Amino acid sequence: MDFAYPETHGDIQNLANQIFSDHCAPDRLKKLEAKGPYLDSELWGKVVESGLHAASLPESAGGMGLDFAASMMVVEALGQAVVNVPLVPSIISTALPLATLDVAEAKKAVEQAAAGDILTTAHIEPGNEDPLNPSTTVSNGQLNGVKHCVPYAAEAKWMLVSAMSGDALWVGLVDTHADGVSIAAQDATTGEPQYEVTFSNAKAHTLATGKAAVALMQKSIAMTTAAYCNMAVGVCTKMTRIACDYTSQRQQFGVAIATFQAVAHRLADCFIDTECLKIITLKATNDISEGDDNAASLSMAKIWCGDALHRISQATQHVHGGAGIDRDYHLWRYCLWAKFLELALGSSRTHLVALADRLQADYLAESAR
Amino acid sequence: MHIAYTDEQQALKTRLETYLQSIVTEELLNEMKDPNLMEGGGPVFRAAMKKMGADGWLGLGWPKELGGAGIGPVEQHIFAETIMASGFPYPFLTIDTIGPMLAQHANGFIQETVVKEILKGNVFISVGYSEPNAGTDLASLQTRAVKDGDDWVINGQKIWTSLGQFADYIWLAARTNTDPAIKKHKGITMFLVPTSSKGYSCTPIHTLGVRTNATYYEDVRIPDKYRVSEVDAGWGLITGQLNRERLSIVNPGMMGGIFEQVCAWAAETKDRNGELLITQPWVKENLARVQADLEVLKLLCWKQAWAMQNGNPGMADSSAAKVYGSEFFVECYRRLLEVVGQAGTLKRDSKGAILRGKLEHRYRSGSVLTFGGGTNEIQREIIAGAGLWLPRARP
Ligand SMILES: Cc1cc2nc3c(=O)[nH]c(=O)nc-3n(C[C@H](O)[C@H](O)[C@H](O)COP(=O)(O)OP(=O)(O)OC[C@H]3O[C@@H](n4cnc5c(N)ncnc54)[C@H](O)[C@@H]3O)c2cc1C
Repeated sequence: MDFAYPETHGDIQNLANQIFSDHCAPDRLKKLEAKGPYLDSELWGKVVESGLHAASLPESAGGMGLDFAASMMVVEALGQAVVNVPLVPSIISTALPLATLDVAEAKKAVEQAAAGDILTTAHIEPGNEDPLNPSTTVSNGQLNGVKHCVPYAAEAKWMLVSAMSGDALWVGLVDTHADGVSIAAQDATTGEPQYEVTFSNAKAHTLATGKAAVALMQKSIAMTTAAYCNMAVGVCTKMTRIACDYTSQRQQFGVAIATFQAVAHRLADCFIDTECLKIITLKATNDISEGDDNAASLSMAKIWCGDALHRISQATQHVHGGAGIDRDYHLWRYCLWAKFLELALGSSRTHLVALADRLQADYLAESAR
Repeated sequence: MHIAYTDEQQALKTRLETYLQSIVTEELLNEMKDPNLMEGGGPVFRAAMKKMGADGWLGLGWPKELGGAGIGPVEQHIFAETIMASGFPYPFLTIDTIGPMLAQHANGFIQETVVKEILKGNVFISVGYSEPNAGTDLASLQTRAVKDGDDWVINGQKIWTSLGQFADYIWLAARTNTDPAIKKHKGITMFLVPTSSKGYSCTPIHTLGVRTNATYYEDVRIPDKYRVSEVDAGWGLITGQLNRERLSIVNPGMMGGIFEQVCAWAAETKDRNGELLITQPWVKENLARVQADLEVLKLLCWKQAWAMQNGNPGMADSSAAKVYGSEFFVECYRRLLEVVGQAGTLKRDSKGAILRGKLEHRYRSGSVLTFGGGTNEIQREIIAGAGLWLPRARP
């Protein structure tokens, strides 16, 4: 049992915190946000220049060749900043799973992602949020169907997509500029660019079918879910910090409001929730790093992710009074991301059901023995 | 980073589980039916402790210099978790909290007569802090110790002195300085009071879940060699012991394996329609919630044990584990009882009791933990100060 990170991971975390915090000054973000959903190309350029985005990509593709946990340090730092860069969609959801394949198109896409081009994955569809059971279909290499909430679809070069090929799951890569792919902007709570993508006989490169396709999409789901949990750790830490700073300054009845036990204890509960989320997220991250894309720890982490985000978001808004929700103050961005991260790839409730089914299967197998 | 037992740690756990089958016998369980012996103290319990001492299981993680096996706090935690889960009334206050404090701080006489005997499974110690008028505000305690030649004479009353009915010593906090000019926690000294001393007495207090005691000290005279701290400097030992106690009382093993037992029970028990209980959505979701929350507690405790091995666990972190763990236990017993249903309220020896009525007893004894070992309000104060650096209202 060893909770220590290698030294490289600490360096990565520090550098990531540095780069992101240099670019999340409220004035700067306000300008970027003025025209609606935005991609912070300037910051993304700096991240790519630092090589941090590719911490876990193989060296052969231009990455640092570190384990999965290394990239999660960067994602957590992003959670503390909540700036719109395509780190999770491009690298975690797409390039990392692609990097496990020995397929020419996949290799090319990973190299492009390492060089800073954007990739994305279309996980969900209108009315169906299970990427392993899509309504989109593929036959003769042609895709038909609709995906939505696809991050950076218009900015991306390649999109990872799952579809049904007859009874089997199919996963492939789509050139976002190909004929038959139409992309329409959506307007999401976070202010991150998200799109509805419609395929009408769109051409696609097949990556995997059947079991291999399930494994590939499962990897994308697992890594993205872990990334959401790690980002949530950053968001929760930051929301709590902001609330502590504010309540230590703000005076009522002649004293700092943090000296009221009701306020301090609510923040202590935020600390406890964050510690709990952190430790179960670390376990899930560790399990994925060690090659398990289907660990129970991941569902447990996502259950905690949703619960902690919800409680901490509400508590930190509350202890601010009106200031917390003022768009001239900086808490609100975290609260919006909190709701996104709570719901994306399954809420606490969805994951509780999944964990419950697993528990039932485990104990029934045990009692059958 | 590797967040799971190593092969050696897993092997230790497995070996211990097998070993404990020879310790937790029907004979012991029968002895524990007596409410006074429920938490240990009977002859079968004492024999089992002696055996574990002789077999080298006690003080597994204590440093070698202190007479332990020196294999580390993580292994000590594995030991505690496993033995608590086995249903053995593990005297964790002695083995995991007071013992190591004594081993670290006590004089040669106590090392020889007490510490060595703890490791042999011969000696048990109770904590004498709380008084009728000193609970959360522990530093206001009134029990007096006055120096008389080479002896100390102790007068006062302690309350909630758990296990006092069979303890060999009381780890006693007494006031040795009443100078109003000094802060009240600066006038307290720690002693070991042999319960065989003249003037010591103990009467039972029956609580919802367990028996505890009031203990009385009437001109109890003990030689200076039973003083454990420097005069007036006992507070550090109190907080040191409490830090350890905090972790012990939220040890996931405390649940006594009851979670797994309820899951297994639900996987073999059918409802009126012949459906296994575990197939009902609300049943398995209740169980899954406990599983997810229990996993977090396990990890928090592992991390604390690991941090002990690698420096020092943060103060706020152990308070967070204490608050989380104690509130989790209360919640968890509720959810498990929901699954078992009204029959879960049948007591151990009742006709129709389920899983030996364990949950009926557990829900009654679980509530102590939220205020015992340093109430959760104070733990939240510690988190606010040491974890979040919030300004404090009180000095
Ligand atoms: C079964 C059992 C076993 C025990 N075993 C032992 C033992 O072996 N040795 C021993 O010394 N003691 C023991 N205790 C005592 C235990 O540690 C105390 O009960 C505990 O410290 C609380 O003290 P109190 O009961 O006097 O409650 P109080 O201190 O009166 O507290 C009552 C309530 O007020 C709250 N409160 C108090 N101060 C504050 C504050 N500053 N801010 C906010 N809220 C506050 C508390 O959180 C609590 O909810 C035991 C108790 C029980 C019930």
